[in-house]
Amino acid sequence: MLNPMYMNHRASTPNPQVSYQPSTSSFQRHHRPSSPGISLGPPSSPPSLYNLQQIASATGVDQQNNDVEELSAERLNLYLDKEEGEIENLEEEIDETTEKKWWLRTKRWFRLALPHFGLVLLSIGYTLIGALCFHHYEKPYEQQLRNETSRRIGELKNRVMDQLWRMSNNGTAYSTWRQTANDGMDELIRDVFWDYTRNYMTPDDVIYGDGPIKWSFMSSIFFSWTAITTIGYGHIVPRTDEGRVAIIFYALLGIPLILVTIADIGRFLATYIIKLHHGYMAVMSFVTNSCLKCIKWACCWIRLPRRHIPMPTLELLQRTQKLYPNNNNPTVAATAASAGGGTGRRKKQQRDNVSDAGTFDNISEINDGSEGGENENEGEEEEQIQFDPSNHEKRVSVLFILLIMLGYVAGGAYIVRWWEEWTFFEAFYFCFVTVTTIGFGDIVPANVDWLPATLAYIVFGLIITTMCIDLVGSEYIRDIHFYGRSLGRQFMTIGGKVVHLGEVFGYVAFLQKNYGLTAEQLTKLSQLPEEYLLDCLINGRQPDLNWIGGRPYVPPDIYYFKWIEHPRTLSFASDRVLQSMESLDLNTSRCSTARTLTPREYYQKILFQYCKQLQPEEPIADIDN
Amino acid sequence: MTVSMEENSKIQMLSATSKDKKVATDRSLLNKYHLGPLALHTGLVLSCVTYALGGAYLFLSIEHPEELKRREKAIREFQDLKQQFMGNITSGIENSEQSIEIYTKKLILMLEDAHNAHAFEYFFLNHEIPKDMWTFSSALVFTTTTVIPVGYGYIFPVSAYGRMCLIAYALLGIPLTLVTMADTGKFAAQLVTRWFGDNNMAIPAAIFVCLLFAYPLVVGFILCSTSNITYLDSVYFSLTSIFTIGFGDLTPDMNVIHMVLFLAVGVILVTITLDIVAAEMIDRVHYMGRHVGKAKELAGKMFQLAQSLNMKQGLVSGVGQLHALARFGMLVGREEVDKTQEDGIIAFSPDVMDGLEFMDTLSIYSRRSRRSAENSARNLFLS
Repeated sequence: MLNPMYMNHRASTPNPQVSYQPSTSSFQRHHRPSSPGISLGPPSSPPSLYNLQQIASATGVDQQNNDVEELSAERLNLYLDKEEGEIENLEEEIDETTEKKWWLRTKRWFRLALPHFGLVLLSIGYTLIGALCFHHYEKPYEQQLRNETSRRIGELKNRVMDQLWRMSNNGTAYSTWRQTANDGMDELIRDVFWDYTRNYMTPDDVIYGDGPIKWSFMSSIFFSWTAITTIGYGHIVPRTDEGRVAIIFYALLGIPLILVTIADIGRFLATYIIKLHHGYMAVMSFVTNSCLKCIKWACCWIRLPRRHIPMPTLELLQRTQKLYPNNNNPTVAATAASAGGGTGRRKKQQRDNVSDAGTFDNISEINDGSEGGENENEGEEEEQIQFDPSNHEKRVSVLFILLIMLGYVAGGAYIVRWWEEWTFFEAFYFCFVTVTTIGFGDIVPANVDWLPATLAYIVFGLIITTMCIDLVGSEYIRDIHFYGRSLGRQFMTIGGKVVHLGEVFGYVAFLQKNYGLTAEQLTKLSQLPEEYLLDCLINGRQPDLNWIGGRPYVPPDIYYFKWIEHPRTLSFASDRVLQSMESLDLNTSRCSTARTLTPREYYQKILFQYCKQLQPEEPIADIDN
Repeated sequence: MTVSMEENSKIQMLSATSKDKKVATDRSLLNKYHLGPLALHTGLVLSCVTYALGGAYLFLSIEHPEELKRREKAIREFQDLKQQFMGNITSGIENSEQSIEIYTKKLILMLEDAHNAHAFEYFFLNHEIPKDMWTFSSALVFTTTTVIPVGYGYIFPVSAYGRMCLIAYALLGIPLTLVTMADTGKFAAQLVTRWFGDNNMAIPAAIFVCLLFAYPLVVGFILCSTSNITYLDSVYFSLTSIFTIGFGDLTPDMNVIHMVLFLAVGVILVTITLDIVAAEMIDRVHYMGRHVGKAKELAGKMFQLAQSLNMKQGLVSGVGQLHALARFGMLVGREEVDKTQEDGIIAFSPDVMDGLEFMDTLSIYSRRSRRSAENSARNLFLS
């Protein structure tokens, strides 16, 4: 069979030969291994096959070589193309991921940083605008006043000299001449005095009419800054009505802006101060622990009960016990007696004790920072010895804050002294009066070249002062204000929205930072009922975010259950019952879009199947039909 | 009937005992807490007043002798300067202009000292016996304006010892005064909040802002009518005073007690207003851009928990308690969140539910054709 097909193709069309060349080559490959078998066959068929093989082999060898080369080249190209494509795809994927992450980071950073930078830039812009305003109003008035004063003094001086000269020429008596000179000088002195004390003029202003301009742009910046930060030296003040009206509105708007800006930056600084304080307290607690160990070793007759806390629930119980101390407990008294700082602990116990509400221990603590610091240090040491409290509970000690503040003032005094020609004590006095915003104005910076440095020092000093008040003062204010009474609804109204909002946000941010809470988890926690949280807190259990709270079980396929019909009632059903059932039917089904059967249809189908099933087996069915 | 009667009597007895206990606890609470906070707050105010008066006496005793010394020295210097000038102008009449210039310059340089200026004003211009700068009333104004801290600079310590005392005095006095003023201010804020906005804080904030704007105008009017200053200058002075700027360029004639009361009330008003209005602004700006969604709701609930527990030691312990609760709860909550599905809370569904298709009671009455019955039931259900 193969032979005639091959012959037909070859003889009939020359074009298909060209297209079928690879197939012929494959055909030849297929026959090569079988050729010796064919040669062994009958003699009639071998000569024809042999001839065909010879012809095919003669033409096919070249074709085979060409085809193989072409195929290999094509496949190589395809392979290379694939490889290139894959590489490009991988590169594209990598680029996309990196770009996306970078974009997200940049967006997040901008979202965080933009309001703070905006506030700082707004404050700087506001200061410059104020400086321009005061410079515009006050400089012309100053020049006018200066010219007028110098002219008046000049005239007065000339008049006195003319009188004296005329008298000396006329030969007037000495007593009269002396009296005239005295009167003239007194008038001159009076005018000079008023010029100096009321118009803040310098000797060059009075005599020559020239001198350093007080309301230069840099001085205007200094004035506007000291005005809105409520320092207020008073060495230069607005004299015109426009200037005074401007300072009124300028202060009304500027003081809240500066307070918000400084408080905002002070918050960032407070976090670093808290970390520094924790490190310091860790070192102190280590030293104190070693001292206590030595004391315990020395006083071997007193044995303190060891408190081993294997589970957190016990820790909660210890905390609850700590909240309500028992003064009658002898072990506590023994520990207080044995420890070094007995007086401090006694004061602390007195602070917690309700019966001593009438005393003024808190006032004394506030007045004497050192005592307060000692008490707090001892309290924190106790806590560290017994438990390992969280960082959020610690209160920064007053002594630490005082050291920071006085250190900054002393450092500033050391620096400012180089360009202001003051003694160290005078510089310290100036820095202290400035940083606490008292601002007497008896010592003011005179060197205009270094004024930006002074301004920078004042800015950071105010930030540090605000940070100190924010860390220490607010807690003392709150403790004193709510002393002697339990927290009520009023506290919630004021504390939750007005007074303690910062602490609220700080606490939530702390939760997010330390425990990796997401916004969704916070939402779930806030949705939990109050009673459940309180129950968990009292019983020492962990709140379950997925807690449902007694909701009943609802199966998902509830809508398939419409009604159940007992088969015995089939024969007793009537049109009335069916109509009433149909009226109760719900035509809309939530579970599926398929059409559901009405009770009538369902009933009929059930009846039909029932009769059909029972018909061939029981003869009674025929009677029923 | 008898059993029910006995139970009712028991219930009544229990309720009576509970009422008696409540009355007893109320009385004891009144006895305990009635005087405590009142004494504390009153003690703060009295301690502030005592501190100011004591400081006034201290600075008066330090600075008054120094003032007398400097006055005598200043008068002597002025007389010497004048004698020198007269001698120069008498000897050489041609150099009179130069002599006048030198005299004027030296005079102004001497007047830069406040004590010299004060002595010169009274002795040479008014020809009177000079008054004392450091009287008790002026010292009281000085200590008050130091502690608030307004800092007019009318008078200030000149000696080194006086300045050291000022530093120590301010370092202790400023916190005490700020605490007292904030404490008093919170009572006023509580009153206004109780009377007006219980739901929102907009109305109290508006009230305080209006008061803050009205106070300088009213006090300016009073000052204008009382002393010799114009109305604009009076408003200017009162505004720069209550905002603690304190330039000190104007010196109205006021009674010391009125001055102190004016400053105290004004600064308290400013503190309250900034506390109500600006505190929330600071918090919003500081925490902008962070994931603090529904933070107020969450924190409010936590504060209610602290309230429910009746913590008497303040909020720090309460926050610690809630912190411990959150720490344990969140550790467990995180694990559970990973396990459960992200779609949300799904009700419990048993696995056996898949096998249950339909309850059919026909099979009970046709045991022979159970298989056919099941098939027919499925067909009916699916049809």
